[in-house]
Amino acid sequence: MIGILRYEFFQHALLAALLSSVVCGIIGTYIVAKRLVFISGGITHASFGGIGIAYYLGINPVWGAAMAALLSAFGVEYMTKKSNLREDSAIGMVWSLGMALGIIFIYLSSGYSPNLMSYLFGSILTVTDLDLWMMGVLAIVIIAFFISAFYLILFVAFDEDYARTKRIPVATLNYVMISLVSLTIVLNIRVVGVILVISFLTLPQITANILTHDFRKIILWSILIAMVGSVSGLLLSYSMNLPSGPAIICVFALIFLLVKSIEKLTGRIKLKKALER
Amino acid sequence: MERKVVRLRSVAAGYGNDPVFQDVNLDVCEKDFLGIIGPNGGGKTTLLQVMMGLLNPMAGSVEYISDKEINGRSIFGYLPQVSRIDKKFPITVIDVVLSGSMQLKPYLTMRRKQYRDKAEELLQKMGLRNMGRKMVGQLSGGQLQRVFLARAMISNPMLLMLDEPNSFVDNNFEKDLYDILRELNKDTGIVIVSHDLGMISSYVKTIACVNRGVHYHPSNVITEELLETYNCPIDLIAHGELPHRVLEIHKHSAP
Repeated sequence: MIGILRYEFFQHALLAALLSSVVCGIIGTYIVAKRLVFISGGITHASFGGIGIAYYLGINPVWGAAMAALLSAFGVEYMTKKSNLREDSAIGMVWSLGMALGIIFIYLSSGYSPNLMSYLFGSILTVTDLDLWMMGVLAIVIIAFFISAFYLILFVAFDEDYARTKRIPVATLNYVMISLVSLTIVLNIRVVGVILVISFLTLPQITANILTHDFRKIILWSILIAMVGSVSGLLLSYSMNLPSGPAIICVFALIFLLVKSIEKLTGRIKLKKALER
Repeated sequence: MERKVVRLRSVAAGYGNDPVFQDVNLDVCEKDFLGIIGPNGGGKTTLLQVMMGLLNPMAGSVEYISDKEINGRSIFGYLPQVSRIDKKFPITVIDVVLSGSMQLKPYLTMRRKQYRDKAEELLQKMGLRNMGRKMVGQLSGGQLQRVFLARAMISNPMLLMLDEPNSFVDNNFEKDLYDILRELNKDTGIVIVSHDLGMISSYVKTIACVNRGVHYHPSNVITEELLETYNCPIDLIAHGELPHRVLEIHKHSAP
């Protein structure tokens, strides 16, 4: 098993998993705390439309995905604010439209597209140097932004109205945050795929939220859980010859169930002791 | 002469294409104690939000005192209705109070010990000693409201804006709340929204009746004529040695 570490593709995969854990740990905590899971799902699926169009035009799908993700994120915001459409309805629209466009354009592209499945379910074993560089830069940007503006992010997420009475540029901050969410999603599609990326942004976080309720600690625990889960998922997929993305997600779910059962169990023991007293 | 902190001129406001009220002219001065009253759905919260700039007016203008005149104080300290807040949000009580001091340089500001000490002190004043490390979700509605009051007070605002503060506060704290407000009113203007003036009737200095229109009463005594004209759903009030409510002489007509 150790022998696999000698291969460059596997080293890349490990590095990608660790970088994903960092960016998803931070951004996912924001998503879960602010209840943005559904919009994140919408952005993810809309970006598949961008992947399809980029394919058709013969450009790097990452750029197509990034464009589509940002457009859909801002589009949903715009439709909700300006045209009186309810947010979840607007999300439902970009969600399915993105998938439809993606499949049509990949269908129209000449020849068989072996990468379709890899975009739907991820292909961490084929990440390129460029992918890693982009994820590294995103990780640095996100860490720097969260360290320098942590309280601003936390306070605005908790109570936007209050922030506006303090003349904080709430709308600008929200656009910056949703852009970071979009870029995080796009770069992680490579690792676990369109359909599975949302669990990278939620499962470690809800597991961490069982252990602590402090925003800062949820971030740190999420990163740790995501690192442990993704690396063991990767090793599991290698040793059992399973697809890597789904293996990682299953490990995340297992960790969640484990922590949740331990919480239930200790809770019951505590209650019993309290009642006996 | 007391300075005007907020000036509303010919303001219309509402949601969608339906103004809740129109042509409102209202000044709030630095040591006012204004009660905004009226039935549910009459536009009380809308008026408060327009004053704070949370809702843009459909017509007219809202003007504020200039930054130069307030010596580093913030203009507003806002106590929202507790139901507007996501109680499952992962944030500690002390951080909520500290968020009241937020400025555009949050990181630098928040590190300052003076704010932490002040936050602890305010929590103590609110009867929430040693609750700072708790999560907001662990508090009762009344406790949460006291946390929000502490948050509103930490920035030493010119105006304290309270939206239904007595809807959750338990009876034990209600008296304390009004004593705190009276003390604050020495150098802070207070705007309080309520559908039931009840106990605060003896504290407010002026009243705005909001019922699909706004009528400002420059005193706390209301004549029957005003009640009839504006259909204000309140008892008459007066200030005296003892807090009490007074009804002016009026005819009782069958409903």
